[in-house]
Amino acid sequence: MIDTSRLGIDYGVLLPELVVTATALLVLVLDLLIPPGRRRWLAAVSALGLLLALLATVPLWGADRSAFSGTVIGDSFAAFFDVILLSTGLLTVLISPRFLRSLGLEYGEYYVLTLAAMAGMMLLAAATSLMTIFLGIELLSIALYVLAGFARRNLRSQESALKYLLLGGFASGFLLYGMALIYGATGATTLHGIAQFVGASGSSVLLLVGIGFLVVGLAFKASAAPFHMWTPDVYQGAPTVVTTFMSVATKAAAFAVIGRVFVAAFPTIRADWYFPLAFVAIVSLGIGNFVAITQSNLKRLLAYSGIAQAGYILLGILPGSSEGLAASLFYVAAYAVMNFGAFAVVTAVETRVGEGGTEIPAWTGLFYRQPLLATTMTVFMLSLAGIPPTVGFFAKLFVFRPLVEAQLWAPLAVAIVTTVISFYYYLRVVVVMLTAPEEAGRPAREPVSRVMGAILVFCSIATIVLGVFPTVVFDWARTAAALHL
Amino acid sequence: MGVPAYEFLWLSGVLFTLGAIGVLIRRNPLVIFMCIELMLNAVNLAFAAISRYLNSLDGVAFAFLVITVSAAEVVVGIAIIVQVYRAGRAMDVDEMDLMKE
Repeated sequence: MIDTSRLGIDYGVLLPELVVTATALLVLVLDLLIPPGRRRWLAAVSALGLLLALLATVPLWGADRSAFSGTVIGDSFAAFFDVILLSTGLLTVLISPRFLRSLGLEYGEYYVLTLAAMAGMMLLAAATSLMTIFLGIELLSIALYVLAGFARRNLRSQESALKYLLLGGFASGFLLYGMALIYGATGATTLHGIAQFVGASGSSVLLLVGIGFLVVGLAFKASAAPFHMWTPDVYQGAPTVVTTFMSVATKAAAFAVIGRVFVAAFPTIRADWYFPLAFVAIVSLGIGNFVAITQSNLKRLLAYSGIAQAGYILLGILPGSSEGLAASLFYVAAYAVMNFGAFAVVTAVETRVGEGGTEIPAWTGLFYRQPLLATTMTVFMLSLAGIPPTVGFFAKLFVFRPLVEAQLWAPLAVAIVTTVISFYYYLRVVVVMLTAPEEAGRPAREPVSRVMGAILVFCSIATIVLGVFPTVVFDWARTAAALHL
Repeated sequence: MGVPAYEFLWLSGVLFTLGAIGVLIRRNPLVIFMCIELMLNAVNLAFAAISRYLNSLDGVAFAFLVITVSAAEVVVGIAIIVQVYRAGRAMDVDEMDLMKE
């Protein structure tokens, strides 16, 4: 008989992931039984499953349950990210049916794949071993490759899937080679074992090369420059609901790993990983904010904006302190709310106008045609730019503060200068929406679907309320950032 | 003991580099995909060699995990490549520029 007690089998730790996976399988079966005209119900079932998974994360808050031989952990950090990811997934599922119907893509597989990607992302948030990190990344990536090409007759969607697949596979190769080298240098695959080894014997060339490769792989998933080349094309070509989901959830999951690995596993050799990460952050801020200025397609603009936002989130990791990590976590939560909102507005406009709806000229005079969409978009743009009293302002303030305390002036200076530059392209969107349309007479107002309207109002209220009372979420982020391994 | 472990690591490094160069210079998506598989197999070799050198089973388990996951990736990858091919487009990644600005 094998002694199983030492393996640390504890399904409770993985309960949210298991609920999501079970929902995915259930939807897969139901898809065969439900007549094609009623596929909306699959969205309802998926939403219900995600709500149940949200409930299942509650016991993980404040816990410290390492399980399955130290490969996963149930703690506040995982719960914090689970809540962000599940909420994003839930809202995505709710806005999807109408958009998919407008493209003639209402298939059950969409929900199955979205749920599978969710499971991978949540596994990443809980992962404390190189193996589970790899498994989570591949689970989310493979599902997203298919989702990016979900509009399979659309050439752009195909192209986006192919680019994501080839560059994603390339990045996975680097990630894995980095993991192999770290394993070779430390003899451990769990973060706990790695941290112990590194704490005792310091760094070696093999370890540093391994960490370098790991940074390449993770920065790719977080779409941070200079590993961002895929982002604009994939974001533009993928169906907009998929882009919405991908831009928010993938980035959150990637930063869950980056935070846990660098702040929790390699705190003793911060001097060694500071420069590569600072380089990635500075380049992301520069490229993201500068190139966004020249974009004429809103999805591409938001893609470059997302690259810049990845830079801001990385800033909080640089000091290597739990205070800095808390700031990054708060930024991820803020980013989730405002960026989801911005992409949801794009989805709503595209549902009405068709593919041309993502080009910025099509947004001229949106205030007069669809005041709700234009008003909420303005809130999200102001928040992404970091203008008070929105949550984006405090998110930036919180990540800048640890930089001042740690006296990291170079990244801080770049961040402040590029933030000012970013006002230009965020505010340009607002100005375009305010410009009166040329044709005489007001075009009839077209109503937005009730679900979409409710979600947009919810996101914009959240953006403002979190901006007025940021300390509530920041305290949660602080609790989550107090990591144990 | 036979061939020492670092020889395998060198070989794995060479294979990985060849794969990476292949990804960067080849144009056919299928060939690029094969180069990615070469990179992943270089990783497997590294894991197996390190595993033997350290006398721990973690690396071997990791290699099995990589093999399984890359099989799943191949299934999805080939399906996407076939879909592009059936749309009647040239099998050349340099010509995939519908979204360049």
